[in-house]
Amino acid sequence: MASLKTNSHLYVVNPEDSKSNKSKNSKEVGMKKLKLGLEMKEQRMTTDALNEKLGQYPIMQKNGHRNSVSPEDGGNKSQKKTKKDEREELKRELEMDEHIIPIEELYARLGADPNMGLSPEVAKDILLRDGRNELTPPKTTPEFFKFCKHMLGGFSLLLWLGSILCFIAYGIQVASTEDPPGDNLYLGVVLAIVVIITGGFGYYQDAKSSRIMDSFKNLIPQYALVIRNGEKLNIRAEELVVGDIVEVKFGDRIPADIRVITAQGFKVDNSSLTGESEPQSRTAELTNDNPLETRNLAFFSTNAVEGTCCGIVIRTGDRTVIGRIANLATGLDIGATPIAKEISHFIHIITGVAVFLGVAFFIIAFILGYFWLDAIIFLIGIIVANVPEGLLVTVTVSLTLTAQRMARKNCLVKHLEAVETLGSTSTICTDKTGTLTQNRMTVAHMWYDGKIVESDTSEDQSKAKHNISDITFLALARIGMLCNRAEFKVGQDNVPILNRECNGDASESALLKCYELCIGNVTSYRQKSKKVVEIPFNSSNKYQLSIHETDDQTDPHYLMVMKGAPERILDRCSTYLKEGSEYEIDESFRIAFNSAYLALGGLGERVLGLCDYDLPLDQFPLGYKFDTDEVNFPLTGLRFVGLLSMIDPPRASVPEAVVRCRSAGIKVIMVTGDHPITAKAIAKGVGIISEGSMTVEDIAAERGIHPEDVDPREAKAAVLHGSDLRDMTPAQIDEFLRTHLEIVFARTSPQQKLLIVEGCQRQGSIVAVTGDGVNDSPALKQADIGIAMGISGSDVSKQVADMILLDDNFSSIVTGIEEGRLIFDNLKKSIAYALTANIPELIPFLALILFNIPLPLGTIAMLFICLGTDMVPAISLAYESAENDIMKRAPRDPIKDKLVNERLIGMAYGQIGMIETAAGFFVYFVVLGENGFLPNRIFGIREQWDSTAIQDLQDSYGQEWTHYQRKKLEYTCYTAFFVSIVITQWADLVVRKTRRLSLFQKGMKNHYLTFALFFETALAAFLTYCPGMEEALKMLYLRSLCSTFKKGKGRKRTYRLG
Amino acid sequence: MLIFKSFSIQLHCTTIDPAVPWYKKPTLRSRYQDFATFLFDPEESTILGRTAGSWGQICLFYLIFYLCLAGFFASMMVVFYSTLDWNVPRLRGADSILRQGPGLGMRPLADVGTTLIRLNKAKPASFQHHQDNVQGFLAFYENDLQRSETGSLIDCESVDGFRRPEDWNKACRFDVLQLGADCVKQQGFGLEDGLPCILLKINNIYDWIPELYTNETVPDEIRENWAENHITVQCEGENPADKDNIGPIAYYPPYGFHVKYFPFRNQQGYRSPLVFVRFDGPVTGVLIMVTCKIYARNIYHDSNEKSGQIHFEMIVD
Repeated sequence: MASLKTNSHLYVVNPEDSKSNKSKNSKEVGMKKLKLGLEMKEQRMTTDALNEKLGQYPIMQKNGHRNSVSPEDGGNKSQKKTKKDEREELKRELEMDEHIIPIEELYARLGADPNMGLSPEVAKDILLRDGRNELTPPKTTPEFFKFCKHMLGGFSLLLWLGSILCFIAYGIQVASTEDPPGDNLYLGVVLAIVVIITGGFGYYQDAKSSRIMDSFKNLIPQYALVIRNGEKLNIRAEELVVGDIVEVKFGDRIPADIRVITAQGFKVDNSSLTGESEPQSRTAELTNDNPLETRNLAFFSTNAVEGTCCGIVIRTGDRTVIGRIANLATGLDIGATPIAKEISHFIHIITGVAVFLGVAFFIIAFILGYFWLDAIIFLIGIIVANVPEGLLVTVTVSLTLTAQRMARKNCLVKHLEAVETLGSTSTICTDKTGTLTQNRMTVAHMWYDGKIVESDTSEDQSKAKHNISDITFLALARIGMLCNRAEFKVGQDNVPILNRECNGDASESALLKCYELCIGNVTSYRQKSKKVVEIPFNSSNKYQLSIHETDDQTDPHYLMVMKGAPERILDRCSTYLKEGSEYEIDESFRIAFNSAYLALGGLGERVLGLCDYDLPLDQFPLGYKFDTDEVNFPLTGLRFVGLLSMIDPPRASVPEAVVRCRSAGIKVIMVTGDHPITAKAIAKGVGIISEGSMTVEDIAAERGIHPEDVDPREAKAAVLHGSDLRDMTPAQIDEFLRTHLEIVFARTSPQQKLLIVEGCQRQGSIVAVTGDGVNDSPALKQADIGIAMGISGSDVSKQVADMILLDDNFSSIVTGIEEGRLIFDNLKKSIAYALTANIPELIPFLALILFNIPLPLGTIAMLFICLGTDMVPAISLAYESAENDIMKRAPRDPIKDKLVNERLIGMAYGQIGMIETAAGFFVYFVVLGENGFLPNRIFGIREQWDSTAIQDLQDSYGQEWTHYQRKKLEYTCYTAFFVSIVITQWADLVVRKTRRLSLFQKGMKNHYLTFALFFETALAAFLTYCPGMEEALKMLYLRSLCSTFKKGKGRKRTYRLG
Repeated sequence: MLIFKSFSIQLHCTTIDPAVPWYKKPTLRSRYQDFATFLFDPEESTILGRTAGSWGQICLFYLIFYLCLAGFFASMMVVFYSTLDWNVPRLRGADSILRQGPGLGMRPLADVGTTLIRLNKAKPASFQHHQDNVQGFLAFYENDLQRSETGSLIDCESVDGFRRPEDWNKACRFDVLQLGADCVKQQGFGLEDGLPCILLKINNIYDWIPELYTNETVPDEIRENWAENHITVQCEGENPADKDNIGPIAYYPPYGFHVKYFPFRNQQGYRSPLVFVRFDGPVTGVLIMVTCKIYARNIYHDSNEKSGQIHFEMIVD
């Protein structure tokens, strides 16, 4: 089938033009190389590999630098060679001349026709050849590997090891004795089952969140208007091929890398590619050899904000510029998550303890004269007894519960470990637009009648306080409504005005929304005041002008309205409007204007000047032909009305969230592509630069000295321009990050974000980074926790991120951090609780070896503690509320503040564990003693006790016991020991409930925990008293146990220990 | 190449000072050094991460802690002991796991690992340990020894059936002469002749008294060996082949255990009654599996629990 298609493709293409065919062939070769390159990309790459790919490498070599994050230092030669080849490959691939060659040559090369477009058949063939025009999602791990990771990662490995050891021990027993006890076999099987079930559960959880991820994709299919066979077709953007002629208009997403053929006022927002947030115009002429700089290229996935254009597709899918950058992110090598490090540290400790005890008792067993096979079985038994069987389940379930809780709070965690990583975060590098702000230009201030009037910028705009009857205000509004090309998209009548989507420039939309809110019916007003002619905004004249018929029937004339850069507007005015009357512009007005302009600009707001002019009817009668090229109407001597300033205002909840971050010791760094003044204003607005903090420039201005004379250490805050960052060495960056507490990076490109993240990580911080653009993906990946935006984020960034903010809101991150910190605390409690029971499970076995006593606690009863009664209480601790305000603590020091430290182990093993053991042994002695075996009889009895030949073993009272009767007694001991552990674990649970507070301060408000207490008890009662347990579990219900308790001592003792 | 010009300008300063070691992956050597430093850090003079003073404090803490714990444990054990009677087990009768279901004990049982009795009458060494085992056991029953314990043991020659309950605090003397003339030390308990004598005894259970069969209720299978006031003993091969191979069996005393020795009440000097089972002609050179059972109305037999019966194997060469 495939070969047939290829043939037909050849048939279609061949007759066309030998030249184009040749170029196609060479392109195909190039494709193969590209594929080769992609395969190589799958190898792990580090930052330096990324940097190399971004083209930095050759320069660095010239400068004699050696990139130091280089894993191949000392690596073998062949690997280096591959890397070099790959680099060569990329270099060749990078050469791009589609924007340089004459457009006709390009048509010829791509076999395109600007009028007719490609024929559908050819397009289909090229589609088959090149593949669909979409980004390959970052290399996702195959499901099977994900599953294996869950099965073999961290904790599971320990359990597998335990399981294998059990099987080995069982094997030894089978080989050496004729009737081996099945305990080791059961234990091995149970351990294996635990790992498989928990691994499956973890896998299921991750799969669930990736399903949610998938739902983000393909929500709205992108369409592109393409010319095929001379017809304009609306096809899905994925089906575009190289050589297609497409038409793009404002509001569209650029469907592929295109070269502009013709353009009308066409502007693109390149922010996701370069970080430049100002729209840039695009025309047909070549302005720069650098493809990123030239005006005749528009790039895939950037947005068209204004105008229309017709262009030819030159690259599609992964071969687009953005596609290549997105692919680089997949190669970044990321380290282990903090919780993974913690767990491996924990495993180290546990393994250390286990091996130490195992070897120690192996030696002791030899000294005591045990047979070596028995000694090996003891060794294995001790190591296995140290494995906390239930902990894997506990940790997984606790993290899952938190992940679910976070998802309800709009933080979707992609893999469980990220839950805790968020809690360890000590630095957040956040975007401005959309994360800190509402991502909605809003009119913030107006200046008219000589005063600055504040406009409401809150999300609901509930308290607008303009005086609608003001004549100047109305004049201002008229200009704002008429000299405005923005329009509401249709079909949004039921949507609140502020949430409606608009076609057009962000500031014009802001004006539109503002006046739709205060006055209303903008559309009908515009219809009444018909637009006659307009001059659109351009960067040379910096104003926009339109001429309208007046809606006033009694006084028909033409009205000219103009808006633009304030100083340019003022230059064109001779009068100004104040409280209904016109005055000549004088020096005092100019001063007032300048101070207002500076004040508004200093707030980081975008200021527009507005003026109008009533064209006199005698000079410009109705029906006058206005000509915008040969301007035949006055452009000076206009009437100045006022200033409008706009800003993307911060979200209401952000300042509080920043304060919480600060009190939690988390450094919040703003990284934005915006202008430093705007960035600083927003940073001040949300508290990233706190009140009273000054930057170097502020101090300099205050003292009246040059900024360079100020010691940077005096300034708490800093705003760094991207171009300055570019010139800094890593050491300088480190110095900068250390010196200043409140940092704003302005005018940064997404690439520089990566530098900032690395810099923070060098400080030892655990860094969270937000990002939405494709180009953010390397930074997202490099960060300890990458946070993608659920609403505005691109698919690629979501794929790369560890977490997704469903509402794009910064405060959700803070909520997430709080949950992450809480789970760290609670995991500590859970682990401490679950580990405690390890000691009363282990010591009976040690006592058996040392004192030759009958086994006090059987393997199966032990498993029932770990995986039965202890499970629910340990998980219930995940529901514990925070003890005090966890957001007032400094973030966890990843080096010193460990999840499991010696203190916790000491407390669990050395103290509470020993108390529980003492309780268990007391009950054991009571059960044996009441049945006739007093402690002095027990020591050294084990060989006879376990012998099936001896049917008449005497107890302390001369009674004689058959083997069967002795075993029944032993099982009763197991049960008694088991119950005593359960009871002491009640107390342990309550003890673990709090770490700093007293129980009386904390109270028993965690109902899951209360339930767990009852559940644990009920389960223990069930296991003890349910008929049939004797055979199945070696847990013997007997009245002896009751009567032990009837006497009240076993219970009283354990109770007191709590 | 051109396309990345702008990037390269931005990134060309990313070279990181090699003196800053944050990015270095730990090598094996540095790991080893870290571990060595952990073991002993000469700078901080710490061993395993703690200074000597710190170790001292922690040891002192745990010393005191464990002493307190041990003291508490010991005091609780004292309390427990104070509730016990030294002669009477706390749990008796139905409360006890023994449940009034006595098992059977046997001698010789020289090795705790097996119940196989293997002997070759031509080689005395092969059964010497069995012989010593039985002899050692019977030393406790020497008539001289029993007589010297007058006061604690009484003569029950004249008692025919159960003793009166008021006499139960004294135990009856067990006369080893009842064990017959064939199974005596002088003949190596039959082992020398290849006709082994196996000693059986009923497990002591506090207060256990047999309920006897009467002439009417006695089961047919034991009618042959049964006599009034006795707990009958009967041994047989386990499988048909064993039944063929086992040969004739004699019991000393012939009717089994007399009831006058019951109940066991942990009396001073109590001797549990004994029975010798003599295999008078087992087939040589084959493994014979033997089960011996005792019969009374309140004795149930369960081969798994070994209640009221005992199992052993025998090879006579």
